[in-house]
Amino acid sequence: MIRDLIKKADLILLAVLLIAGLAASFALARSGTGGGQVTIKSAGKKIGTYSLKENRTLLITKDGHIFDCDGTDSQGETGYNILQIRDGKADMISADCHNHDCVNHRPISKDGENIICLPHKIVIQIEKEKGDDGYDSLAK
Amino acid sequence: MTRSQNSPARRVATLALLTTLALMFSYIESLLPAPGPPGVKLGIANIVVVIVLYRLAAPEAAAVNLLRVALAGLLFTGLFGALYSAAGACLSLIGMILLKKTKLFSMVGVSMAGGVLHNLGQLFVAALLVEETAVFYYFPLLLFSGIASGILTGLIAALVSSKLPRDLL
Repeated sequence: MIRDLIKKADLILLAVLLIAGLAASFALARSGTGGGQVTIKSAGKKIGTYSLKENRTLLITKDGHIFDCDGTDSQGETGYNILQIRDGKADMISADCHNHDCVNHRPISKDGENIICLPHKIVIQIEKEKGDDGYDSLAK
Repeated sequence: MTRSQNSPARRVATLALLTTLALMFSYIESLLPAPGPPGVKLGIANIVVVIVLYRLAAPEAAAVNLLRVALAGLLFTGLFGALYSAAGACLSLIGMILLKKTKLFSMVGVSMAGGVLHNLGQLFVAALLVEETAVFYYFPLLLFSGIASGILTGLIAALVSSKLPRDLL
């Protein structure tokens, strides 16, 4: 029964896929050390960069504007995300997108980690601090 | 095979029934709470697609899956949901049809590849829509979840298919 269900080629394919997945997660984990600043992108365009060391709460609008806010209200904006930077972590604490995948995402702090709000085309990404060029420091 | 079993009317009715079944699976899944990160899901509709691919043929499987995606888009997943699913469905169909043609893989292996490719297709659309390669951060997670859901739906498809009467499909 089991022999008909699963063939040798299936197991080889499974092994290949598992290795590919492990290699990819290993590569991502290696690149994900440290991290110093939060980059905010709207529809692929960089609209702001903030240090992870300073606590602040930001209101990001769908059309690409960022305001400081106290984190409780949307200041009358529709199509917004509220990002909280606290204790070296960035967390999307509120948004009026329809699926709330971004709000449900855990806080991020490591280089390369990101929170993406697909409905609003907003990407929050952790990057190395300015002046610490990622490629050069890798080559050292 | 009697003549009536080969008739176009019977073919259309069978495919309509199977498309409805796949659509119902999609609907049931959309009612379940999301098991985790975006994109991770069971994909139980793939059970129908894999069975159709093996019991009927590739064009029928493609028709059932693409119609399911279009109808689900109109009914509950919405335009963007349908766009993601369509990319996933196309990639997964191509992969499954090719793998089946090699005759080296069982339904489980074919379904596993389908699960992985479906997730990859969605990832590509996400990267295009957000204009951001950062979404590939989800690659390993979606790969593993595609493997798991593909194996599960493949096992179910193999078991169900072995119990289906020969003249049903």
